[in-house]
Amino acid sequence: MIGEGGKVGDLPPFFSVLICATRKVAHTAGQLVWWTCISLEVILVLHSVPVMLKRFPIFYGYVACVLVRDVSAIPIYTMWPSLYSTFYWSTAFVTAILGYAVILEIYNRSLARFPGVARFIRTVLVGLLFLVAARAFAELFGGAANPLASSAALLERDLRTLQAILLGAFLGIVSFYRIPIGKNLRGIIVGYTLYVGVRVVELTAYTESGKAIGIFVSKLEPFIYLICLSLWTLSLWSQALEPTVDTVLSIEHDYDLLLQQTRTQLSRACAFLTRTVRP
Amino acid sequence: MIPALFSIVVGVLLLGILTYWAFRRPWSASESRSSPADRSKALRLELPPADLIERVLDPRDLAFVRKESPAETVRLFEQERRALAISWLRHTRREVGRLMSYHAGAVRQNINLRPALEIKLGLHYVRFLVVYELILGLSYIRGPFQIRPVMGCVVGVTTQLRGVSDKLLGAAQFSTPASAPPPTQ
Repeated sequence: MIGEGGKVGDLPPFFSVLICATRKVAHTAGQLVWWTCISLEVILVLHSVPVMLKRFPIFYGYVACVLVRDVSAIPIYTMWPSLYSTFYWSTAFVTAILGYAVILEIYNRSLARFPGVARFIRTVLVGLLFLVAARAFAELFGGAANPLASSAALLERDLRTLQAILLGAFLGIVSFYRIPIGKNLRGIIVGYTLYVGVRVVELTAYTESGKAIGIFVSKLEPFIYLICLSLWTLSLWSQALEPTVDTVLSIEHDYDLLLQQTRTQLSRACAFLTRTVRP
Repeated sequence: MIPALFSIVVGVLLLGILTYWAFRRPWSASESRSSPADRSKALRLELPPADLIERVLDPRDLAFVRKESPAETVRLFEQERRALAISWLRHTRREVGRLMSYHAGAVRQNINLRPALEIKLGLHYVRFLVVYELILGLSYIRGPFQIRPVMGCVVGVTTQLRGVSDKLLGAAQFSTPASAPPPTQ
């Protein structure tokens, strides 16, 4: 594991120094990804001051937390290796919780000009949270063999799965209502959704598929995270204006009329096709 | 195992939705702007002519070709008629899709948007899509002439649809600024 994967001398001086400082942590390729991620996190946070930080404070707070965790992990791993596992899973839990705040910020920012859709999404979210809470209670009190939060990895998997559901519902509604989203927010959404999706798959593989597959899948995570960080850095490098939205025309104001029209047309079209499949 | 399977499905599904969302063409400002002409077009629900599908799937044509031509010609004939029937179905699908697209674009800024009704509408739309796919599949599996009896029902409802659509269009045109009557003193 220690420095066996590559040639440190071939790398740029900056990375060579960093990799020599953390030779005991991972092999060269892993360290390269690790340090690139940390460098991108630093760039992202520093570059955000002051304009972008004001626009997306929770997202940058999230990245700053991950940065602190990543930097703290090195001395903990080298000096107190026995504590590393506890440190890793507890911080993973904290960042998963912070992820909910990021999702909330995404919701608020993207739907600020669409109060009706925002209300719709809130209703969907409450429904989803109710379903998840019901499932959690059923597992806790139903004597299931694998109760919720029986281990840190399982707990994080469940938290991330719920995030994946929330993000999926969000993307579905945003696609359906054609909500225009600016470059900055789009970058955050794409990067974070990619990370959550991969993390859910990774944690499931880690907890269910045995150690060999779990370790193989978990090796992919840093690379995916690197892609997410690159996406964030590129999309948040400069401030982009939010797309303009036209004012509502008179017919669109009359929601009842419009809804009634769409429903009538759709139900008739549906009945029309339903009848076609009956002999 | 079930929670794990659920998580895997959710994760993979999310990545699929993300890919669709990230790579699809973003809506331009001009597309999201609905002119009175667009509204008329969307609300008119221009379904394909009823007579067309009756004629395309006329069994007498098939009987004639079967009687007069070799098997290869019959196969080609069926292929062509299937293509026409599918085109007719796709046209219907496109029109309904446009109606839904217009609805979504029009109500998105409306503060009075009612979640329960929107979900109901969305479920109706999903049902429509499922039925459409089913008929499309049947036309591939059983052939165009086998689904003719059920396509006859389609024709009847098409006429109804057009009648309702015209009524709705009248109401919509009346409520647009361009065609609204002048204010009275």
